[in-house]
Amino acid sequence: MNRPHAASDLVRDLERARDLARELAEVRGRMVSVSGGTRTDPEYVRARDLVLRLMLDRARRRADDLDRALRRIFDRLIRIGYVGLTDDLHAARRVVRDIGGALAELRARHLDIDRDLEAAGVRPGLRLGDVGVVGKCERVTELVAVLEGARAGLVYTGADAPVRLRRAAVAAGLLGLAVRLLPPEHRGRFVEEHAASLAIAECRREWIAYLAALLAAMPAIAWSRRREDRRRKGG
Amino acid sequence: MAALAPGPGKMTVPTLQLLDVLLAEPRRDDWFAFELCRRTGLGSGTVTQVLFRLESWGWLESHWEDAAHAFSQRRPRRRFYRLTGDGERAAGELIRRRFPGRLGLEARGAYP
Repeated sequence: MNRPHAASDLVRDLERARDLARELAEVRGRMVSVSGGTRTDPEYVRARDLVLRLMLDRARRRADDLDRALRRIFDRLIRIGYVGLTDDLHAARRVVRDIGGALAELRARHLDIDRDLEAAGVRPGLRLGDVGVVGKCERVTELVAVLEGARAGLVYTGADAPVRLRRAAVAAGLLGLAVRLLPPEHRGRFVEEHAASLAIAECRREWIAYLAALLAAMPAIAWSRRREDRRRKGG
Repeated sequence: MAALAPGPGKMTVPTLQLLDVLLAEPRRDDWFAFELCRRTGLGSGTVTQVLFRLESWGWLESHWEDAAHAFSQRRPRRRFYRLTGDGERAAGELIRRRFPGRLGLEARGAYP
């Protein structure tokens, strides 16, 4: 299940994703600078739109790269079963926080940037609405939840450690996938809470029964969480 | 889940079962999901739903176990639940009113 240096590879992938998020933010920031000014002569507008089109293409490519990088990180986490991450987990969590910060900043500026582009007379097709930043922000939240599960699986030592680690890895992987049904803010707590519960199952049968019942109830759990969130927000 | 009657929200038989267990030791502040499954015989999905519902009503509070303590026992930290004062009063009253004599059955081993 595990292979040497898997944890270092994970941190490297995370750093790559963080760099892509930052680069995406820079490209979008520069698009606003390019669109600034009030000149309306057709030659200027044509040149500006050409530059914006090139920059938007670049932003789209970076957003796609970031998406692929995040998917690769999930795959790697599940494949290595979180085992052997002990030393690198703190580094990994730090980088995930950095990615989250970069994407949150992007999301916060999203509307402002598009408003500025609109005010500058930039055509809708050259604005930023379609590079999918919001979805990527949610993917980072999922990543944090999966890493919480990973942390829950890392504390086992002793004679039965291999069995418990293997179970924790399977549980964290399944819970990490299942929590995608939940609103992002509930995911981290959910994975960690139930990974801890599964850790005390005394036998395989009890472990399977707990996990299976939880997974079967996930749609109902997700529905009630979303309904409660809507109620709290007054929706 | 069969609904019995309207409460602060959905009041189901599993909710009453769980409340009965909690009321057997109302001052206890370290209940966790797996133990409640064992004590009530309910499935993990049901217990998770009920805990969430009771917490959203303000009848339960939850907090994380101290991580250092959990680590010293070589296990992940748990999410602990406890009845709030309001929860204890409301749940006790509810069960006394609807099911006279039922309170504390769990403590006497009435549930699996």
